[in-house]
Amino acid sequence: MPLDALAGAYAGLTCFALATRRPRQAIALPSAATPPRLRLLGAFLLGLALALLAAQLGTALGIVAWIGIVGIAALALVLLLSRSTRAALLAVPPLLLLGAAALLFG
Amino acid sequence: MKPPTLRQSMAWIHGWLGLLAGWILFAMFLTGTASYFRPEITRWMQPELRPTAVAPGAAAAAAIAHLQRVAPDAEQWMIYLPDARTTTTRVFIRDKPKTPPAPRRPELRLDPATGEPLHARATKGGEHFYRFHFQLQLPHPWGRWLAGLCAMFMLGAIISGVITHKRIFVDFFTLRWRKGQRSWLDAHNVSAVLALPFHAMITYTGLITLMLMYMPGPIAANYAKPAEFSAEAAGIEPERPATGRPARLAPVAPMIAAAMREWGGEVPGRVTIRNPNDEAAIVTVARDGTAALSARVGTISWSGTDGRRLSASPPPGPAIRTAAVMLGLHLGWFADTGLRWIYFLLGLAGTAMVGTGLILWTEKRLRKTASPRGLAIVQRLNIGTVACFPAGMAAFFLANRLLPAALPGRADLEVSIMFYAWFGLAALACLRPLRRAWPETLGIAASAFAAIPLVNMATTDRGLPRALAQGDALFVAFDLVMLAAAALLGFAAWRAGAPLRRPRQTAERVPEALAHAA
Repeated sequence: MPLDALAGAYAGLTCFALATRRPRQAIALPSAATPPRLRLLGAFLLGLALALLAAQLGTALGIVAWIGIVGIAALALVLLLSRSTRAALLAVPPLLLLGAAALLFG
Repeated sequence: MKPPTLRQSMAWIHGWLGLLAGWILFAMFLTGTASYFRPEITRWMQPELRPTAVAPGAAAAAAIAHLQRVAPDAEQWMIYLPDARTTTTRVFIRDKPKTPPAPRRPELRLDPATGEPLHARATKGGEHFYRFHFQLQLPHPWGRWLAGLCAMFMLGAIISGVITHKRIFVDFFTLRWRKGQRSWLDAHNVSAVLALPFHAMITYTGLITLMLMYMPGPIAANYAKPAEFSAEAAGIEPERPATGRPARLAPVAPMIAAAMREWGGEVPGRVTIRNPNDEAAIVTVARDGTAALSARVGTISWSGTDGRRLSASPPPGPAIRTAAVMLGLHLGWFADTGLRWIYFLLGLAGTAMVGTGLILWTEKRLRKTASPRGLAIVQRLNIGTVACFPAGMAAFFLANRLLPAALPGRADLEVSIMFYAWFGLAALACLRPLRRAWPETLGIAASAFAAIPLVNMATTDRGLPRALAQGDALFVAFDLVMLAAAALLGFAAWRAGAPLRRPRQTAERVPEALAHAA
């Protein structure tokens, strides 16, 4: 499982989620975290995940894998969000650390 | 009366297409999802087998040595070489046509190192789920037609579902629990929308896999026999009839080595020998098919008498390449372990999409329905599908462990037990009140899945603790998935058995005018 891309996809989707009304009402975000900036960050992270997969698997396989990984990350995020917005957000840092470790050490 | 809007029309179509095909689609999704681990399931169901891995050339040579002993005069030998997932050599023998015609020989499994038949409990293994997925245990071609019809309904349901979903982006991250019908709608939306690219891909490509059956006209109009089209599309040497003059079969290992050199080290997946031990013998080596998205594997053919290279399949044209990539996307042969698990999880999401859709259909009509009897039938069919079909699958695995290994006909009996358990439980559930039928059937399904690792531990030497100690990853993963399924079904049983929440009584508001008057 390409953990680095999964982490990037999850983090990116979390940014998109935090740009919507309900999660923003559930937790206090810094004022700098405006919806447009969060969407931009989310798009960047999703694009990064795609680039990583394309580099690892080739363009065609990379796109296929990216679509699948984004779907799985989205399902996991929504399940967590439905129980606790805080838990969904707190999952991002350890996932990113795992992803970074997977990228650096294989 | 105003005519319905586009969204209303699409909602009507979506509801009825989804319902009519939903029960079969649920079973197709679940068995298709399981099929992504088809060889692994077969290996779990034959725990006695621990074959030794050998090089492809050696495996082919060993298999041919066995075939020379048991079927030297066959019309064709087809040898599927072992790989990391399918650790045995699989052989299919096609005998010469006789009068009366000879029965089709069943698949042979051989030890890759020795070429000797492997002795293990007979089972259909993961192949059963794979075949059920697109044949539905019905005679050919009716099962494939029914599966195709359901897939067409599914495609219609996907398109109409997207059109009718008003707040598709706003609701993207919405999943509310314990809100009755709204929760089922959220669950249906989440499982459908978040994995929508996968669902659309898998449905369309599934239809492509059997497109020549659903649309045979172009082939029939241009070719005398469909087999001629297949040979031309695959670019393989045309079949030649046997000459009747015996000739020694040339060694196949050098042909395999030559093929691997030509393919840059890629291993072959299949060796087909037509008219072995005859002057017209042809040996065709096919690529493994896991290195690229395209499921169309290239082949190289040699003369079976003197080892002379005859031809290689030409690069496919755009139409064949497109179809092959679509087939590859559906089958997922290209996927490594990580991607395969992603396919598996997305398949489960698709199963959840169909299941939640079926339940939502009844939830929406609980308060008001034009046909209470029709609604009751749908509710019973939902229980029979969503709760009882998984129980049937668990019974299939339990039967594999509990039936005596040497019992004649056990492979077919395992399949029969799956259907007896499925339909038997569904029939029994009809005798129970609806409120009790759901938690009881889900509870039975959960217990059945939970029993699988225990029965495995009791009847084999590859139970979970020992598998963990020995690093037997396949057996560990299988048992953990069974436990996860048990946990999920158990949770569903618990929630289904929870008492109904009564709506909160709101205090009547006294009209302001009266309050002031008082």
